[in-house]
Amino acid sequence: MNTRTRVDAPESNSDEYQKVLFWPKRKAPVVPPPVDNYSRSELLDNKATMNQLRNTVYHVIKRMQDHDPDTVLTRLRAMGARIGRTFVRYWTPKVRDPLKMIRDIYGQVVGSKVKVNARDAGAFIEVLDKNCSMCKYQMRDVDAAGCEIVVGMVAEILNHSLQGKAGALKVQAVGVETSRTRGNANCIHLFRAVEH
Amino acid sequence: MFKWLVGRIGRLVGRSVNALYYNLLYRELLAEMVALEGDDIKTACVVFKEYGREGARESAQRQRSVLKYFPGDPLKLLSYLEILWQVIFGMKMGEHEIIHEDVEGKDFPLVIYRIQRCPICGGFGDDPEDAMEVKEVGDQPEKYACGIMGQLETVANFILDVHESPYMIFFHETQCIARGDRVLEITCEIAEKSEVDVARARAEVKPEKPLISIEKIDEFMEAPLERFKTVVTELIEQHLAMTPKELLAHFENYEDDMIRIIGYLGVHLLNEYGGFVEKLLANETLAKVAGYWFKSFRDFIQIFLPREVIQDYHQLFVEFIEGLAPDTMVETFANLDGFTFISLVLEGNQMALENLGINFDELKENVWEELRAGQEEDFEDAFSPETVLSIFKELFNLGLKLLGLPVRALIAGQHAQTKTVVESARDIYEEIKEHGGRIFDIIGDLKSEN
Repeated sequence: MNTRTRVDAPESNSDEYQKVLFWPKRKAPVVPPPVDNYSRSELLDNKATMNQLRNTVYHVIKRMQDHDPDTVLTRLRAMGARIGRTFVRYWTPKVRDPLKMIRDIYGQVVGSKVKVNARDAGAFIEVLDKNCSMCKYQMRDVDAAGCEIVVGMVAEILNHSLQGKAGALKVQAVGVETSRTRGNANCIHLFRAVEH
Repeated sequence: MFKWLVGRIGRLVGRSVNALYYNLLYRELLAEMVALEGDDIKTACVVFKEYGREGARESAQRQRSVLKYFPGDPLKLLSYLEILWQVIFGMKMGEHEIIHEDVEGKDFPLVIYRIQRCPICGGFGDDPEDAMEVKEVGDQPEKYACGIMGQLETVANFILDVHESPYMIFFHETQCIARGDRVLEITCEIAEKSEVDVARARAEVKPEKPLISIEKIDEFMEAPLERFKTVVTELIEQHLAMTPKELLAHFENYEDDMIRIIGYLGVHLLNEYGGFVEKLLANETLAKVAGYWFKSFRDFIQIFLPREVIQDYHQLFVEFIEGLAPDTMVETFANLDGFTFISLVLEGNQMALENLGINFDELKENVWEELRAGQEEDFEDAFSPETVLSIFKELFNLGLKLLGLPVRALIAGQHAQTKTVVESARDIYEEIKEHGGRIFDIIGDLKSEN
């Protein structure tokens, strides 16, 4: 019979805290049985709600800042790039024009209808997202916006989709120019256009 | 009906992304935590669960107007886990079993959900970027889905706190597919707060009692008239310390105003559930569409609706008020013309809609003039006429189905057989759900265009 030990309230996450709670301990099977879990292709056809995870992202960013503030942007974009690398195995944009492709990626992946414009004679590509999935409220205690992840991911999907196409454009993630997280009205994501 | 409604509203109010993106973002966040914890996945999962709790707490504070309508009984609340699941992941929980395991000396059993398929770790291990040794997490209650467990736990406890419940619920991930188990198993443990006084689980949540619990909607639909009469009587006696007859006697000789007030309060009561009407009407275009639809519907009723249908509504109201209001008042209501009755209700509706954001004075004569004006001015952000027409069509279809409701309610009331009511209501449920679902889809599209 499982019982609960009565103790005073301990600090959260401490060993003492864990002991207060009952939870059945089960050993993981040595040989995992076959399971019919969702495939990533199946997930592609569904939508999930971001509200709570969006807030969680900012707690992770705070933790990254505490660890090493100089590497936060790089780490966020690397996270985005890894997401993009996996994502393109299951989906690639259906259009050929790079600017339309960016619009397609934002629509399909993060559910945003964005405005995409070339800037500085085509040297840069600017994406205006009025309803960014990663940013909603101003966060005064973080310096980096969560949508740095989106910038890294979009660049990765775009470059992968255009790879091997003659004369095709390649983009580099420049970063988040304005963000609702930083108190701006909209998020503007910036990419540098380079030749493949 | 309630579960479907909450699911659709939750998805509409929430910000949706592709579920695969969600799955991969979750993977990256957890992987980052593992890296930050020096490749210690056990600690990373414990900390990430806490971040999940924090994230959900902030979200719950903002959504308290919706969450307060969930039940305050811990066991009943857990039966709503499937809805929360569907709202978060955009897909049903799928094949699962729910086990109640009694624990000696405890008021509540352990509630164990065994879910066959997990959208959080779905596909994990299929791609080279899935670089985490989840097996190393061992037997601790925080495994791959720890962040989600933290979210669910906080939302559940927030709701219990709103209801001043003496209990709290802990969510433990006792089996994890990413770790190698056959299912995702969530063990929900209901504990007395006095036993486990974890201060962080009660972040200044002010208790709040909703006027009517939305979970009762399905019960209303099963025995609409009598059930509603009982609830109204209870509410009046509880909040005003007088009987319905005593209250309604104050409106004697002001019957017209009373009907307007009913129309007015009806819209505001609808808005009570999460301020949904107000949020929709905050969008200028949606407010206009709603305004035009209301105007058209009002004209439509006057011109096309058969007198019998109007009489059905009027009769339903008279039967409802019978026994609640003084006899002389019931007689006055019964002598009212059906069209006058509906017009008074609509006047009240309009007053409430004006309160909530529709400026009827600004509307043109009809929606076609508005569409033409929009095309002439070539507004960049104007909605397409096709979208506006689609929403009009679905709203009208929904309106027509709703107009059929009183006949069924009256028949059911006269026969006083639940079976008749359920069978009678089933097909109209489906039709309302179908048209309602399409309206939610269109509004969702309109939202994402903004």
